[in-house]
Amino acid sequence: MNLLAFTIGIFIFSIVFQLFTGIWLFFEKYSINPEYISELIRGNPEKFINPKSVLGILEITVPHLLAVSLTVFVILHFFYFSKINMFKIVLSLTVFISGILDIVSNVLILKISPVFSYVKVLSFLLFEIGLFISLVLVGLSSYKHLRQQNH
Amino acid sequence: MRFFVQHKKSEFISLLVVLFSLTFYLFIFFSVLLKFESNQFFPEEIVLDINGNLDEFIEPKELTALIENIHINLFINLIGFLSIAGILFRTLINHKLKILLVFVGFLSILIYPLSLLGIKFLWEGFGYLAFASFLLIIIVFFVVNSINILSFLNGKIR
Repeated sequence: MNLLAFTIGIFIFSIVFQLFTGIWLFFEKYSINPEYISELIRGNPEKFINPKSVLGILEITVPHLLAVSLTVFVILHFFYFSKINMFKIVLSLTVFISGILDIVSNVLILKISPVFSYVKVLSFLLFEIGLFISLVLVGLSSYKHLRQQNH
Repeated sequence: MRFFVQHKKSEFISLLVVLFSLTFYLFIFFSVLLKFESNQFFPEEIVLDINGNLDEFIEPKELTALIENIHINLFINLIGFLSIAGILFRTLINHKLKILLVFVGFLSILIYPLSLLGIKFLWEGFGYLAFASFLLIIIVFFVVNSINILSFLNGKIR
């Protein structure tokens, strides 16, 4: 078996698992309801929910900013080895921007407006779907490349 | 359109690098903000956070907590700097300047956690070294990232 294809295959499988745990964690923690997300972050005295501290949010934001941008960069750079069309360019922009918005929106919800909880939900969905499509495209092009090499 | 997109294929990587670098600016900004918010930015604050002050009922940081902190931060800084340094080597700036930036960057990334341990075990004066090395990390990150963005936007790359 081609070592490169094997490595890319394992990498894609692991990132899909990572996506799955990310979605699971999001639903466990926030659900998909923007009002509930806003309450969790800004607090609600009537329901005895304390607001999150800036420090607590930053401790999650900083490592995620680096981890998400690096992972997305690594996955998307595989597009370079196949034909690049406008769809892939738009997909890349969508995944990058939605990923960053998803992370930064916690700070924006706490410090600026609860409206950003809608941005959080939307960017989370866009990021997960976009990254999944990117992984499928990378997997398919690697498989095609491997088949061409074998024939 | 298809010809146009294929013709610009190499520019796709430039787009990814610019997007990554813009995100890295956010990472730098939030890293500094995190140090401010956690009262670990200035030398006196760093020393107080690690050694505590019994007169003010501030407990010293446990060794396990300190090592945990170092363990996570060292990895994040190293992998982040490795990424932007890798991009820096594709730019056309002076080779000696590249070496200097990479050397200073990695050195300050290593000195920062060592000085935190120095505060815990040796001398409070290491607080100033921790402060200086963190500033140096941020400055080098900012300079390297800016060189990367400008080079890739202007096409001055190998």
